[in-house]
Formats: sequence, C-alpha cells, structure tokens
Amino acid sequence: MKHMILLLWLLSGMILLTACWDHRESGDIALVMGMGIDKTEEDNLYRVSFQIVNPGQVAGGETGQGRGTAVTTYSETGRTIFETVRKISKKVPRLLSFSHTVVLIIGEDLATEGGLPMILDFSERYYDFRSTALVLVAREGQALPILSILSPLERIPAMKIQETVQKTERVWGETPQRNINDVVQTLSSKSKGLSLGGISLVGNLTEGQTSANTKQAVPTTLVKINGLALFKDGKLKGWLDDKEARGVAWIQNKIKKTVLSSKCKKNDGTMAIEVLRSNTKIKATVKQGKPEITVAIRGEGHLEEITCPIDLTNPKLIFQLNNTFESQIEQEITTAVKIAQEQKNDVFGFGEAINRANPKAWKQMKKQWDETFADMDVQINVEFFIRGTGLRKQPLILQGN
Amino acid sequence: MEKAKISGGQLFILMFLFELGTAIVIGPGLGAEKDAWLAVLLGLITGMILFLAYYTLYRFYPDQPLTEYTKEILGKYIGSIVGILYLFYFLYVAARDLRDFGELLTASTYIYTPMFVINAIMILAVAFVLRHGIEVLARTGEIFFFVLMFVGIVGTIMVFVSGMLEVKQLLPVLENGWKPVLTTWPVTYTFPFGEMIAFTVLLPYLNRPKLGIRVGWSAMSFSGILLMWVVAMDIAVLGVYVATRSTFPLLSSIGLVNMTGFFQRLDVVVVLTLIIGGFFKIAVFFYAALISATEIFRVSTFTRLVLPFSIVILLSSMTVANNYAGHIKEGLKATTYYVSLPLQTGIPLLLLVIALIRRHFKTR
Repeated sequence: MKHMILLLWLLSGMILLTACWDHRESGDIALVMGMGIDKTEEDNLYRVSFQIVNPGQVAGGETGQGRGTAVTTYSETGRTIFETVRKISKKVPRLLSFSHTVVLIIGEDLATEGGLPMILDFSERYYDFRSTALVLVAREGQALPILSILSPLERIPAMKIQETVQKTERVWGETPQRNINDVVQTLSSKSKGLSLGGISLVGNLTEGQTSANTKQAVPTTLVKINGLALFKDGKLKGWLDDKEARGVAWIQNKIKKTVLSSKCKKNDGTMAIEVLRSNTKIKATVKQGKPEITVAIRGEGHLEEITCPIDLTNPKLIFQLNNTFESQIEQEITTAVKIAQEQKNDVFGFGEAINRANPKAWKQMKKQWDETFADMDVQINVEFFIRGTGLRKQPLILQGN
Repeated sequence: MEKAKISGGQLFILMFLFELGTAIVIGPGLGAEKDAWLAVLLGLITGMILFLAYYTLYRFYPDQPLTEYTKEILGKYIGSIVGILYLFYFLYVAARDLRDFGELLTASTYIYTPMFVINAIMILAVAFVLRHGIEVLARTGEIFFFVLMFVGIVGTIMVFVSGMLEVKQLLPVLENGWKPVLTTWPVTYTFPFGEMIAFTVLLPYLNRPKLGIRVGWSAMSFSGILLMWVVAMDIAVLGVYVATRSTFPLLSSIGLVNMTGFFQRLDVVVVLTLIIGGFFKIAVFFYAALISATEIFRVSTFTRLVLPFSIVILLSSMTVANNYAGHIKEGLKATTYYVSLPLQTGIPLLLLVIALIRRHFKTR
C-alpha cells in the first residue's frame, strides 16, 4: 500500500512538474527580428510589417546553398498595433515572438503625423517586447520596403541593420544608437526634443527582395543609415545630415570615434585625423533669469593621413593643427545649435541640464522654454589634441621636394 | 507556541529576506520621483525607531508573542480582541503579499497561466515548509539568502559594466522640495519597515534574547540600504519617468542589460528574486497568523491550522481586489493609513506606554 501511494506521488509529480502552463514549443513560434510600422494612405490604419526568421535557412551554415531566403516579411493592417500582431495569424502559421526583435522602423509619414507616443506604448507595455530594440526612421519612405530587402554578409537583414547602426556609431558617430527605452525616456523628459537615426533604401525594391541580391559582388539594392531625424513632442520635424548631425552628437557626448578631415592652409593638400576619445560636459548657469549653457569638449586623436608639406616633427606645427580641428568641431556644433534654435527644438537636453543646475529657475522658464531656448547663449569650448602621427614621422609629399 | 529555537544569524536572514520581499521588485517610494531613495531612508529610520518599541515590549514579555501579552497589558477581554485584530491583520497582509506575487508573475512571465494556479502552488510550498516549523523555515532561509546575494551581486555588476547607469538622472535632489518625500514617507515607512510587526511573534524563538535589537537593526539597515540602492538604480537606468510608470521597475531596468550581446535577458534573475522574497514574506506573515491563532484559541498544535489558513489566504488573495490597479490603490491608500499605521505604530506604542506605567506601579 505504501509503495502504491509513493508511486502515485511520483506519477503525479511527473505530470505536474514537467513544464510551465504557458510553454511554447520552438516549432510553434516565429521569431520576429525586425518590426516596421507605417500608416496606410487611404484609411489611416497602421500597417505593421514583421521580418520573421526562417530557422531552417539560418542554421546549418551552408551559405549560398539555401533553398529559400533567410527571412520572410509579412505585413498586416489594423487600427492598433497589437491587433495586427494577432491578425497576422491569418498569414503566418506560427505565433509571433518579439523577444529577439532588434530593430523597430517607423515610416516617415507616420513619424510626421502620428507621433511616437502612439506607437511606442505597445512595445513598452507588451511583456514579450524588449526595450532594447533600436528605433530608426525610414527616411523619405516606408518601413515595409526597408524590412523586405535581403542583404549579403549578414543573413538576417534586421541584424544587418542593427550591426550597421552599432558600427557606424562606433567609428563614424553621425547617427546615434537609440533603443525604445532611450526614446521613451527622452519623450517624457523636460525638453522633449529627440533625435533618431534615419534609414533609407538605395536601389530597386523588387530586385532587393530576391535572394539574387545577396549573390552579387555589388548588390544592386541596399539599405543604409542616413541622417538624423529631429523630433519635437514626438513628431518628426526635420532632418540633419553629415556635419550638422555630427554636431548634435558632439553635444550629446555620443561621439566615440570619428574622422575629421580638413584642407591644408597653404596648398591644396588634405589631412585626416581620427578622434579616438572625446568627452563633452554641459554646464548650465542662470544669470539674472537668463540661462546660459557652456558646452566643453575635450578630445584627442591621431593623424591618419596627410598630403600637405608640413614638418610633423615640429611640435609647434602640431599645435597649429590642433587649432584647425578645434575650430572645425566648434563650427559643426555652432551649426547644429543654430538649426535647433531656429526650429525651437531642444534636442540636446539643455532644459534638463538647467533643471539639474537650478530647479527653481527652470520652473519659471519652462512654460516659455521654446522661446527661451531659441535665443539662448551657448558657449562652446573645444580642446583637441593630436597625440600621434601614426607609423611615419613625415608626410610622403615632403620627401619629394 | 512551538518548542523551537533559532539563532541570531537565522533571524537576521529571515528579517532580511522578509524586508526585501516584494518591495525590491515593486520599487518602494517612487511616489517621491527622483527622491525615492530619500523617502526609503526616512522610512528606514522611523522603522528602526519603531522596532525599538517592539523590542522593549519583547524584553518585558520574553516568552510570549504580541497577541499574548496584549492580554497582560490590556486585560483578558480587550487584550483578546486586540489579539484577534492582529490575527486578521497577519492573514490580510499574507493574502496581499500572495496577490502581489501572483500579479507580478502573471504580468511578467506567466502571461497565460491563471493567477489562481500560481498562488495555489506558492501557498502549497509555504504551507509545506511551515508544517515543519520555524526551524525549518529558518534553515530554508539560510540557503536562499546565499542564492539571493549571488543573484543580486551578479545583477548589480552587470548593470555597472553595461554602462547604463546615468547618475545625473537622479539630480537635482529635492527637485520639488520636501513635500513629495514627506507624503511618500508613510508608504515607505509602513511598507516594508513597519511590517516588522510580524516579528513580534517570532522574537520569542530567539535563543539569545539580548541579540534581538542588534539583529533587528542590522537586518533592517542592510535591507533598507539595498532597497535604496535598487530604487536609485532603477531611476538612474530607466530615467524617473519610465521608472515611475513601470509596473515593476526592477524588471524593466535589469531587462535592459546587454553586455556585448552575450550577457542579456537577465529578467529571470528578477523573477527568481521575486519568488524567493515573496516566499519568505508570505511565510513569515502566515506563521505569525498561525501562532497568534493557536495561542488565542488554545489549539493543541499549530500544524492543525496550516491547511485551513492556507485556504483562507489563497481565497482572500484572489478576492482582495478586482484588478492590479485596485490592488495597488488599496495598498497605497486604505491599507497604509487605516490598517498599517494604527496596527504597526498606534497600538504597539499604546501597549508600550501602558506596559511602562504598569511596571512603574508594580515596582513601587
């Protein structure tokens, strides 16, 4: 009898302790790597696109041998985003899982009209969605085409986009990496200005959708990181490019490495340096009710290329070069500040800085902050040091003379 | 009372796990926004002063739980009524904590599991341990203390290393003056520090009564500082706006950890913390209720009450609120002011005053 009871216990344990109530088999779920949100033109619904991995095509590793594409992109429309997530079951034979989503792309039209708070509520609230997904804006286009382009090098295009954003931030510095949490944090901050990376499609859409696109030495169609989108109160207001965009990154202390190039003073040679380290400090003061911001940047780098006949062994001349690049950085920042002030859009978080320095004064100026920001004084102090000249002491061009 | 003894170290661990309990995941004091840590600090200090009162009462009546010495202080009838009041309070808080636990798990990981199932499994586990008495609970605590410390240290290191801490998000201190801090203070004071009232029932088991105050204060300050750190970390990682809007700030902030794409998705760490903390919180209140009831109603052994009380706690955890919003609202408003404050502070202080007066006349 005792043995019987023990056996019963063991059996019931086997049944009860096996797994969670809501387990999902890996064969039942579809991993969504990238998600895109657009709005439809006719009836103002959301069109949500999902880039889903085909697990059989990714595993194995016989590159090029694949029978199909590594990912498939589906899209569905609905009045809310969550509705489309469930409605897509009409097309996809598996349940969507968002725990590995790495990018969220928002179409430009939607970003201009709808506003980010409407879109991001779902991704923040839904248990399966992680706030670590990067947010990008589809520049002059929609998210769906961008998510349907196949890419060489990385088998999963969404991962390719993520990697590109990470690498470009690390060595080029123009577009920042911002995930859902960063975006929500900025949206709810005092100054409410936000900058996001842009992404755009280059080439022919239908060609990019076939796996032939990944088998060419020069891909006909590709997706590239492009510019910096400026948002105010969650709505897209405009775009910045190149140096202007980098000016914003300098102020936000988002520059890790970047390249500065300049013409030589005396002849038409050029030189390029790589910024290796840079640190930005923002100091806010309020004098007689007027806010003042000081942006102090200290950076250092190496000379990587030079085609001017300058004697690089002379430390004095290196100091002159320092000044050239200092003024160049200052120029980039001044332009970025001017544009932001013209748009009355505090993308730098100066409002937060003032609140931190002087909460009382901030309370008085927060109501007319847009105007205050627009004609505020911004001091810029740049210190830049070239520390090394690489593997050669003198420019090649100097030897010829 | 049960014939059992626990050591100072074991009591420390029980208090520590109890204090962290569910509070660590919910993020106490976020009503004070950026100054949440200050609100927790205020709560901790007042909580420690209050614990001195509990300790003094315990030293007056070292062999009796709170629900017994009320009879000696207030007389047989009023004392019994007050004792029964505490019995209900312990059951109510145990049910609330079980609900907290179920809400957290169903919202974060077990989305499609009915809360009843989660709560039932939890209360089964608690009941199983409690049937074996306080010594077994204390030894269980010793094991889980180290698990929790390990998990906590790993999680903290990850947050540091992945560079998500932006300390400037905690500035300026006292952005809106002292008012938000002071209005949040009753909440942080009653939850979790005032809840030490449950230990008035457990203190008589301590093998060296003199250690009581040292153990209590060190456990409270250790766990209090940890809570301050966690809530400050939540804000520094998430930003105050996201943190105050999060249902479970710790879950959101740990979820952001991503180290070189390899160490990520540490959410399970938070769920583990919650399960450990929740278990001990429910167990201590449950045990306090069990001992109070056996003493008041002269039941032969407390083990006979384990099953009926489990059912009571389980069912009340399901009926205590309609939805999460209602549950939290009740906890922050009604429970804090009308249940916790009088029962944690008012009555014990009154008891202390009367006990002091009685002793004064007795010695004469």
